Amino acid sequence: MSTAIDNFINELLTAKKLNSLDDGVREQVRLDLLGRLSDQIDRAVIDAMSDSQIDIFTEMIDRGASRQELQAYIAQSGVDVERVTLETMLRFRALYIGE
Amino acid sequence: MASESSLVHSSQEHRDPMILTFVDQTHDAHAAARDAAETRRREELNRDDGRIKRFLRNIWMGENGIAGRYYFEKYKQEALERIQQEGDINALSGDASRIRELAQSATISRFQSEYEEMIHEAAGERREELSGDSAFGEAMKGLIRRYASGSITSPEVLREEKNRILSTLGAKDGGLLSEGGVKIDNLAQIAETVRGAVEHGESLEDLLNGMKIYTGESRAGVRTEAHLNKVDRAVEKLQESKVGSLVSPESISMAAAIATGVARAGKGTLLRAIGVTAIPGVVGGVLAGIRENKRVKEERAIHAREVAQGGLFSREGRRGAIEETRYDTVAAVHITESLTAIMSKEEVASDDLQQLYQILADTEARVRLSDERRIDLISFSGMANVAVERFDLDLARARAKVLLGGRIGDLPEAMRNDLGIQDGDTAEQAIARSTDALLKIEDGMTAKDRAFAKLKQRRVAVATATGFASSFLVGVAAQEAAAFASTNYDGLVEHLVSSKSPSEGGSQTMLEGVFHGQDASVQVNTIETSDTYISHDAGGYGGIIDLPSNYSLENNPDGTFTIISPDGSIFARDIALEADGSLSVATIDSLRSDGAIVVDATTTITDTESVVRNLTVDEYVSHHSDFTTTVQRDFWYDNDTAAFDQNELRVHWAGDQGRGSDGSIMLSTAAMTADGSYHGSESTVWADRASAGSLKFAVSASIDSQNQVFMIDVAPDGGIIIPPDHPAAGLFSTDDTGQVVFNGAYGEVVEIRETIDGVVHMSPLATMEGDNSVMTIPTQVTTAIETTVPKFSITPPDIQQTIEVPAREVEGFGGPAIITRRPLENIARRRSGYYSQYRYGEYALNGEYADQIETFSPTLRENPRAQLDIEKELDWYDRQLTDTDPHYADEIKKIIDGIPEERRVSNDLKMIVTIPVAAASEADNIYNTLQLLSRQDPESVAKTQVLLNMNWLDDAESDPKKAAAIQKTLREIERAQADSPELRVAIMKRIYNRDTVEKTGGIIGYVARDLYTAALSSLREYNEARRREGERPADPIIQRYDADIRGMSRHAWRKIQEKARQYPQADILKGVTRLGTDSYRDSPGFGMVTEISTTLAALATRGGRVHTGGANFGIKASTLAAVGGLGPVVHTGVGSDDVELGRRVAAARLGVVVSGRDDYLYDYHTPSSSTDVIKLVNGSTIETDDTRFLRRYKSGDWWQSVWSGDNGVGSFNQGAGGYSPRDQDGVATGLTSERLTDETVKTLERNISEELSYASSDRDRARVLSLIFRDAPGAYTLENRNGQCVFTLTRNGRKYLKRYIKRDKRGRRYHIGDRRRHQLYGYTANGRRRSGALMAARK
Repeated sequence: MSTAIDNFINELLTAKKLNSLDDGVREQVRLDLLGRLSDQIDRAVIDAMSDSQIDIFTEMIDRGASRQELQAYIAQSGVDVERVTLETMLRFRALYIGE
Repeated sequence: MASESSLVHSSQEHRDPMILTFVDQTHDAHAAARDAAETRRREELNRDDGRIKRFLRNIWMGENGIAGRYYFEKYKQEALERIQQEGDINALSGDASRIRELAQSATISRFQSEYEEMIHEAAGERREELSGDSAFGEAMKGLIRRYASGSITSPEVLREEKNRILSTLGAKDGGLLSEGGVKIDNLAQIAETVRGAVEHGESLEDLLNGMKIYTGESRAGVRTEAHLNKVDRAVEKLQESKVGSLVSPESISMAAAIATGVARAGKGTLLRAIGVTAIPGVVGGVLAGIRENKRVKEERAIHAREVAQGGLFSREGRRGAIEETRYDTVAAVHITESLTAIMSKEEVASDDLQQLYQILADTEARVRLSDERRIDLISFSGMANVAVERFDLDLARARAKVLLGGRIGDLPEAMRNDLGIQDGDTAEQAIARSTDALLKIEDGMTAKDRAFAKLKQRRVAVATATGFASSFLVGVAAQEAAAFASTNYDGLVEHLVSSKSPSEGGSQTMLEGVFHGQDASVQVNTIETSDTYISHDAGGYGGIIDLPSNYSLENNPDGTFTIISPDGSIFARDIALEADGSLSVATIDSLRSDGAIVVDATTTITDTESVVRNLTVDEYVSHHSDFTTTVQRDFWYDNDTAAFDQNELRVHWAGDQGRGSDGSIMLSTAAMTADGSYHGSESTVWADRASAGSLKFAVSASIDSQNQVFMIDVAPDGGIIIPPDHPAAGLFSTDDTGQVVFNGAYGEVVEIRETIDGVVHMSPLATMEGDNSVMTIPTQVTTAIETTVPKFSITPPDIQQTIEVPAREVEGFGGPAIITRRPLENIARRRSGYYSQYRYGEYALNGEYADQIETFSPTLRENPRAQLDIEKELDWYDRQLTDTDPHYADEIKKIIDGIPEERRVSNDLKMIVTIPVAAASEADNIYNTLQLLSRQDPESVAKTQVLLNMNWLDDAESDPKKAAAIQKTLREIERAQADSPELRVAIMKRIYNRDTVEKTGGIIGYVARDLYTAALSSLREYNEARRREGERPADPIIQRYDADIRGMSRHAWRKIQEKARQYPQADILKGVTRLGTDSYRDSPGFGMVTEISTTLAALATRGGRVHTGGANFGIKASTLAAVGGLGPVVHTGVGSDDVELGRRVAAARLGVVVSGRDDYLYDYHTPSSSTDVIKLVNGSTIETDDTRFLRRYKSGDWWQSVWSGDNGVGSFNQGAGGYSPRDQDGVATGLTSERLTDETVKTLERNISEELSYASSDRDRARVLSLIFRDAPGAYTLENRNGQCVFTLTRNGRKYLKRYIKRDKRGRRYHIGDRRRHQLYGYTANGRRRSGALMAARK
């Protein structure tokens, strides 16, 4: 994962012409982007659920469900996680570099 | 009074102990603000001011608009501020303040109640009892103590102090209270109660000690929350949970790889350009799809909320579609009523209990699902009614459970057995045993969810496709447009419209790339070697290299050199030269092998140098050959003279021992004699020869060279001077004594005789012999030196340059997806109180009335009979208009400003006549109408402003026939203006959207509203001008006519103005409207009916009935402004333009309940009479077209049912809510002469019955019937059937009627049609013209 996502983020930074950033700054920007992207993917996945599924999902978080449980629930909820993730990444890229 | 009494009862229940309650409604406030923002933005987006404006507005502030989110947030913030300012979550509901107070009271009561049903914890509500001795509790009790003891007397001060405590202690000690936000409480009521109790002798401290203090947080609104909120909440929880990413690393990795691949694909190529252009389209489409996916979910929630709050809507368009997916709801009032009905029974039987159980089971399931899932399965009748109706419902549920719980055993046995209900069950347990209701509701929800999923899928697909297409098209269009602007960017369109060749090195648009793309290629260019050469110093060894002028040479530091080609390349590198500066053979061979022609052009350069050499005498002579002369001595003038005179030896040294001061050698012949020179026959005189210049001194360097002599001139005085630099001087030296000595051979004084063949023949006269000792003579001589210069010409071959021409760069551009999104249709909010009034007749406050009051000016609200100040009311009206609809206000103002001065009344304005002119159908009427108006008394005309709203529906313009009719109408108006310039006619042209007007019932309401608003706005301007001139403001009558007047009283305007002066308090001045008297002859029955109707209407007006039907009434401008004109746009169809105004005046002045369009048009049952409010103006009659009515009458119906809202013949509901031409669909065709048959008599009886049913009194009925049947006792019978008057002609009555129609009182044949026409319009008899009451329109 790290290579692919790093490539994706690096490509974003290159497209944004941020290659000349100081290494420390670049790393910070990279981490920020990763965090934002991850949040957006999570949001998009939740947004793709129905109202009632979100209710159940929220309840699961409330009762301390693990990540594996939550992922399993999402998997069986019918949300096309791969598609949502790809769409979110493309959207993220488009918004970030303004293409 | 179920609701209010329930609240009172509730508070009484808890009177001991008293419960001071504070409820935090901040959460509800945010929800209400969101609702208000949604509504406001939607209404702005749906505003009908032209398609282009609407489209642009949608792009800007629409749901997908650039600033859409900003506007929504802005509106939400503004709404929230208003809610917080008023401390009322229903502040923006538009409901009456009393209703809103009731809502707050209901919420407080819920939080006071001990019934657990009252607090909806599942929905997020919380309640907590505060300790009385908490700082907050003590502070509040202290406040009550001060109020009860009288140290605080004003409720305002009490409120201020309370707010102070809330702000300082609320969040800290106030239990569930948060900081800021919106809070409601019952402190004022409690304080008042305590004060009253203390005044009646109760102990203040006992009361305070026994007081409970509750704080809580409410969820007072409907339950559905926007989907987004759920997502936000879930994301928030997820982040708090530290669960981490929801998506597996594999999924992210795969997506990242694909996304990166997409980004990197084929940079610079056509494929890439297509990608760059299309991917944003794909992304745009995806984004649009995502947005739509989100928005459609929001829309569903919004719609559910609005409907649950009592919103009314048409099941069309987006609303209609989304409504199909809304969960079924049951009205709270319906459940409450059903439960209450059962509980109210004196004896609740087993079946009743079963019914109660079933209602409860269903209701509990609905409440639970609503609260837990934040959806609405229960609806309410209005926004502010939610709290009240929820309270009523919760209370009814609680009571029903109490009843059921006490009688579980009385439920039918079969039912108990089926459900497994035990005798010892509580009501809750018993209800929980039934799952049918829950399952049924959930099944219904599932079905709706499925429907929604399909709807969403469809919408998302359309949005995605639209997003892709629009983004792609925008991208492509942007490229093509940019290509025109850029010289090095070539576009397909540019290519097609201009013949320009592709730009050098430029790039192409995607389309150009597709059609005229250029692949990479190789091009060979020849760079010819120049035929001119430049010499270069090479290598520092003196070598010269000639190179063609387009080549250059660079000397390297190591002594080698490099030849640079014209293209910048190196032809030969580091060429070394030999030590003599030449090229080695190897180098030359190497250059030649590279194709160069190398030519050795080495040259020898000769130079001279000057040196001193010891020359031999011969060399010396030879060296100075330029100074020597070849001589031949012909003979010597020797000493053969007679006397030996030794003349031949008389050459002596001169000067200082033979030298001159300048170093010259000096000699002299002066010692020679004149006659001493003979030789044979030859003789000469030296002096003569010297003077002739032919005497020379010839110096021979040696004996051997005596034929080559240095020839020195002998001066006439015999002086011989040999300059020191003369070569001959080198033959002399100085001895030790300083005497010059001649070291040569001979020094001869010679006579030059002749020169033959270059040889000078001479004869010596005297000779000085030297010592001939000279061997060598040091002489400065110049010698030639030869130098060899190496030089090579190198001519490289022509250069064949290979240029790789890359493929033309194709640039893509991803355009943004522009997808406007149609918002939900507006929703009409049912004002709170509507159902309550219906259901609870005893409600003290009538909702509709309260609604209307809110739309009246403060003056009228405070005092319905107030005398109105025109300026104040106009200012209020203007303010209201600007606040509620600034765009509209601005629009009207522009119209007013556009009215030319010459069309305005400038002084003493008494009337403003307003006329709606349906431009597509009034072309044949408007000129006649305006002509009739112009024929009023001149002094009245001068004080009257006429304002026409010339209008048409937007689709009329595409209909050639209608478009022509519109133009004709305009021309007719202009003709009337030209013919009667004294009539000040101002025109406002308005185009209305068919869809918009049809949604609210028709166009006429809009037309009239625009007319009245324009009239009031222009009056305000007029009065401002008067005020500036120190004049009193005018309060004219705003008169209403239709455009099809056929006849009119001669002095109508004078009469109206007189009446207005006579009764300044009257709000409405009404004239008489007659209908088509020219139809009486063919339709006498209809004529009689309209006569009855006209008379009854006049009688009713005279009796003070406030009714403004018929287009011949005026309203005082101040009244019109004070009642808010026609009020909010709700219903705009039939009656909305005229009758509505009377309703509003009746409501304002008389407090009469006015119930909107559901009320029948002529509601004579309404006690809306006052002769102070309305006055009949005698002498103000108009006659208007009757086509619609006659057609309806002939069809057998009551003629006035054209206004009933049906779609029958001639109905005003045909067309855009009553806007069809009156002759459309055969309305005016097929009318035949009426004969008294059974059928026509039946129609007549029916019509007269209807008219009489709405007579104000029996007296009026009698009076109106006497107009026809005065001379025919027993001609009819009258019955009262359930309040309906039934008129029946007797046999004699029929006979009388036939006679009455055809003959006059004296029995002469004089048809009723003629009688009435003559009476109204005059006639000519016996040559004399008898004038009538009315002026007829000129045909």
